[in-house]
Amino acid sequence: MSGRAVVTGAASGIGAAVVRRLLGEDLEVVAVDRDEDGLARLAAEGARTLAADLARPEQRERVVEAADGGDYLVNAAGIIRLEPIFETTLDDWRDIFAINAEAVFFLCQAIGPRLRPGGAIVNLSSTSAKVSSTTEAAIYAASKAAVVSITRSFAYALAPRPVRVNAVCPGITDTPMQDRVLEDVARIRGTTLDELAQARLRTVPLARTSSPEECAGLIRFLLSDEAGYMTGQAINFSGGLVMS
Amino acid sequence: MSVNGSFDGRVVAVTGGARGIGDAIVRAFRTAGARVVVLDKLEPREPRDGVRYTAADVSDPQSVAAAFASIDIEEGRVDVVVNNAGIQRVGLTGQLPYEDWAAVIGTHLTGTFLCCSEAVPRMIEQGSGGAIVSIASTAGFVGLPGRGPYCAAKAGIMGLTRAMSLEGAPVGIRVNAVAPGYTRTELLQQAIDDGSLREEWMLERVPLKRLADPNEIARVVRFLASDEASYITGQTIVVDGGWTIQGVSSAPDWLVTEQAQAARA
Repeated sequence: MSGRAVVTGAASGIGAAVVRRLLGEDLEVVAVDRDEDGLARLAAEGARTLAADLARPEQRERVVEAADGGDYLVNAAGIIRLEPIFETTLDDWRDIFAINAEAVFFLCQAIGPRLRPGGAIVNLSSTSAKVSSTTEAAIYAASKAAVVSITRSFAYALAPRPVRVNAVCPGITDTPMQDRVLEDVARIRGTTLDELAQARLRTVPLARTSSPEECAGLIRFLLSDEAGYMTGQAINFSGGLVMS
Repeated sequence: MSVNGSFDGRVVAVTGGARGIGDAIVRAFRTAGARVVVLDKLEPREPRDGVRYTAADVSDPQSVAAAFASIDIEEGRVDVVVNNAGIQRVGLTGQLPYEDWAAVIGTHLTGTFLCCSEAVPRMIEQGSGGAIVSIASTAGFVGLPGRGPYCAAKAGIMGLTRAMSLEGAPVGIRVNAVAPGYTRTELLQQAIDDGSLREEWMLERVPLKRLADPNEIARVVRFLASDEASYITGQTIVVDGGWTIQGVSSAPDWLVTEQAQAARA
């Protein structure tokens, strides 16, 4: 692999692992996040950094400029809020969709045609787009289902260039977001962290969580020419939790 | 990441490895350092370096058992099985002879079952897990007239993959499938030549506007069998240039054989 990649949601979790993996491939990597401390760590490791709040269209413009003429885009930025489904609000919906769906759509729209032919995009969806075990994350799940649809539409629209567009649907991954999910859901359900974590693990055939680094391996593969005939797919990365 | 050496010391069995996608799979694993055994009814036209070719009919339990017994002797282990062997018989239901149905189901679906039946106990015995990758097809998702047994066999492989992935998970065996779209192989070229497939029809439906190169299927197979895919199991990965994201479920009359068209008229 060679060229330039832009990775959003780069400061932590899967985004950070993708940045490190792509730096290891000798790519020029632009790490985008609103967490400037997290970006500083990646800058020290050789990434270019760009602080931006993707919920704001004018700040997305700067990401588009950074990606112009590049090769790869990874939309890893995402937020989650856990609340009982009957208590969650319109503001929650708008805030979550602004980052998880709107930003993904408009970054694909603006950046896709500006990537070099042969380039590729990977969008981070989630197994929650396909199964619904955590109703406290209903809005997040809906936004991640939107990502699957956005991925298919842009796969079709960008195929003539050609730029390939695929999505990854991680299951339970050891990230800061996952820690928060466990804490919040345990609190809402009045269960212990350990009970909840064990119950969730029982749904995973491989009986373990995954690491962000493992997921970054799949994302690297989908970006690379090794996956040159794959487009429009949403690949489950879930230890067998989801098979459809 | 370099794939060179990532399969050093591992033994990979590839059914139907003498031709087409199978041959590309053989080369992909060789590049990554694997020892490769091919189970095929056909002789290789171009034998690949470092590959042992053994005659086998995957639809025949005794033949498959004999082939795996030869692996015990020659290679001494098996780490990866790629179920790739396949055939095609075309005809409408009501006209297609039972023998053709049985041959297609036998090679694709029964063949996958038989090879896994031999491989799984060996992988468990070895104690170091393993990976199984079977070749399904977009035909397992969409209907193609005149290709009932093929569609059924490929959908069957996906079901078997899901079931075996749950059985294999506790013992470290990952089980996945790859569903290629139209791939430029000798067999496909024959179908284009004899008029049972039309290239422009295929290209019209594929967003990437080209057929797959066999190597593009082989690299996905290798990825799924590699340690990079250590958290992926029970999946069927579609490699079709975007063909089925449009939800194709019908096909024009010419997909039906001339014979069948004549009988219908």
